[in-house]
Amino acid sequence: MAGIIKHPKKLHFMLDNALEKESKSWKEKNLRDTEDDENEISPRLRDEITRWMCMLNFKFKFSPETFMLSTTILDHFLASIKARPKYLKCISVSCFFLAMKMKEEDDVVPSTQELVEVSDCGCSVADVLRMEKIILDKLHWDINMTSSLDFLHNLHALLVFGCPHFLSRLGQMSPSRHLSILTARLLQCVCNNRLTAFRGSVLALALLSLELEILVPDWLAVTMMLQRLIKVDNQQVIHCRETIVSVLMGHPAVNTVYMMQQQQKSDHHGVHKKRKTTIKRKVEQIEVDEIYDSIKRLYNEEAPQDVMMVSAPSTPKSCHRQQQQDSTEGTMNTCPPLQIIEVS
Amino acid sequence: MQKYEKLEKIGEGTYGTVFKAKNKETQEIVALKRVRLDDDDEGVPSSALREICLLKELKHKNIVRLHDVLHSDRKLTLVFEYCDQDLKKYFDSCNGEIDPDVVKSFMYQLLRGLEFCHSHNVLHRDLKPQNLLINKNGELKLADFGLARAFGIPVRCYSAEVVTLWYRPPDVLFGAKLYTTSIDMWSAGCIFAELANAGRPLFPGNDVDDQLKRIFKLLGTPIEDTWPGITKLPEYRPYPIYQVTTPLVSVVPKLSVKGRDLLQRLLVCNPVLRMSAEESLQHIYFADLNPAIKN
Repeated sequence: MAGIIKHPKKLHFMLDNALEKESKSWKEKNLRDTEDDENEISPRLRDEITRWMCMLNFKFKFSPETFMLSTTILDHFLASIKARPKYLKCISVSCFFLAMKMKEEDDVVPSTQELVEVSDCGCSVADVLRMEKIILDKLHWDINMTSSLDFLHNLHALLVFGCPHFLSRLGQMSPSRHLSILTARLLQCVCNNRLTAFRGSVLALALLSLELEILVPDWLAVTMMLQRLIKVDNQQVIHCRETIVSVLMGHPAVNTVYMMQQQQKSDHHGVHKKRKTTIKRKVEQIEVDEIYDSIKRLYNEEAPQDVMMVSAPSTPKSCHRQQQQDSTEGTMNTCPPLQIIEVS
Repeated sequence: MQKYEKLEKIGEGTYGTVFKAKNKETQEIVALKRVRLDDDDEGVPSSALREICLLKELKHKNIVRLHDVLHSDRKLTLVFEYCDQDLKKYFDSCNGEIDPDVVKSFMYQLLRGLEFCHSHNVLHRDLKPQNLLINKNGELKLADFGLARAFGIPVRCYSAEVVTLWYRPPDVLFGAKLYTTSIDMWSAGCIFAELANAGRPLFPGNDVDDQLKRIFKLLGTPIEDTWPGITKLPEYRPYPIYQVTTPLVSVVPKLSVKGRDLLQRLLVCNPVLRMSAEESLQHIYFADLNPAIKN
């Protein structure tokens, strides 16, 4: 961390900047649920296409930021025009093209031809270029947008500074690996239209709050501290938390699979094998690993560590009543300690 | 009908041609940067895209103002505020002598523009005299954001192929891809020395190897003790251990003691220890700066 972010003060400043930018560009998303209308893009179609963009992002080995910017541009664009479903793929691939030009280095950005071929988007190079122009004009070139991922990074870094022990229940889980797990979860969240109703800052906070609930006894106080920073009320956070829980329910990412550092060196080989087989079973783990590779340097962690699988408590409980009660009484909710279960 | 009347060609940017032009309605003089789009099938070049999107958010008196973007199928035109010349041309016209107060004023404005970029999460990555514009009122503005990039908190692997050789920091010369705002601070240091010497570049290397030797001969060869992690950089090669024999005063004889102190803090090989733009603006060298420039 040293050398990259020197002062928490800087984090607060960055957070305020991002919040200001978010409130300027925030638009209510109102995709109508129009399953029977062939002329409108339904929420279901929007979710399908974001999952497709996520898949493309992994195919090109781009950073999560690139995917996040793609969906942010897409959602803004869809909120500002009325497009027919038949253009959705072309719109999406063009949003993805714009996002990669913004976020990736020139030497890894594919040519338009290659993008069209690899993505199998079914439109021509000329279609993509025309759409690129339409998107830029419609959004007035304001595509350097803030996404929920920027907020997740910022709030997570604030926690690492402010409550350095928040990961202690996870043994030797490194902050950057923890951040990769949360990032993978966030990617799932943005693929669901129900969560586009929330600002990126609220989504990131709610996701982090659910995680804090299983990690620290004073999670509520910490959540409220973060809430004050992003200036959002309880009601919204509670609503967002509940939506996240129901969205992630059933997705493998919800049964948080924690990676804990191997403690006994003598076990090295056995554990390593175990890890490999587990990865095969857990597709989302691959995503986490890829994300981790690009994040680990944040906290100056270089060498990948031997890990073993530990499962955390399952779905975070609905906390609506709990949180309301707690905030009125000002008491702390203590959650049971993590139970470590070996995966065979 | 065209909104702008072209007056003369000013030069070539990293992409596209730059013209001086006049807004026919307001008579305002502007600079037009024209990018042809029909040459290839890549749409808006990434450099132009980043320059536009980032400059739209960076409104500051020490950063060149982007007034407008005209986007047709065949070409893209960026409309900028007009500045009379760049720092390189200014050097050519000043006959080897720049008043110390002007040096101080330009340096302060450079750092202030840079501080604004960095606090808004933008790295310039190509600072050099050609990319600093000067107008008649002695105002300095950062320009050419074609290599610039927005950065987030996890500083990712960026390209090591950035910054013109003479202004490239030793970490990037060794292939470091995890640089952050410190990359621009090194360039600012090199430009500071060049200002103090009225246009004589500090490290005019011929290639990467020659560039590193010139740097180490002046500042001493860094080792693991002074720069932990140096030997692990992607393109690290051991260099002869040069001892610091030339005092900075003989390199920048016209610069005051306080100015040399600031220079010394910017030209630090280890990027972690290099001074930030925010800190440098508070340096005592600027204590007696003309208040009219500070505001």
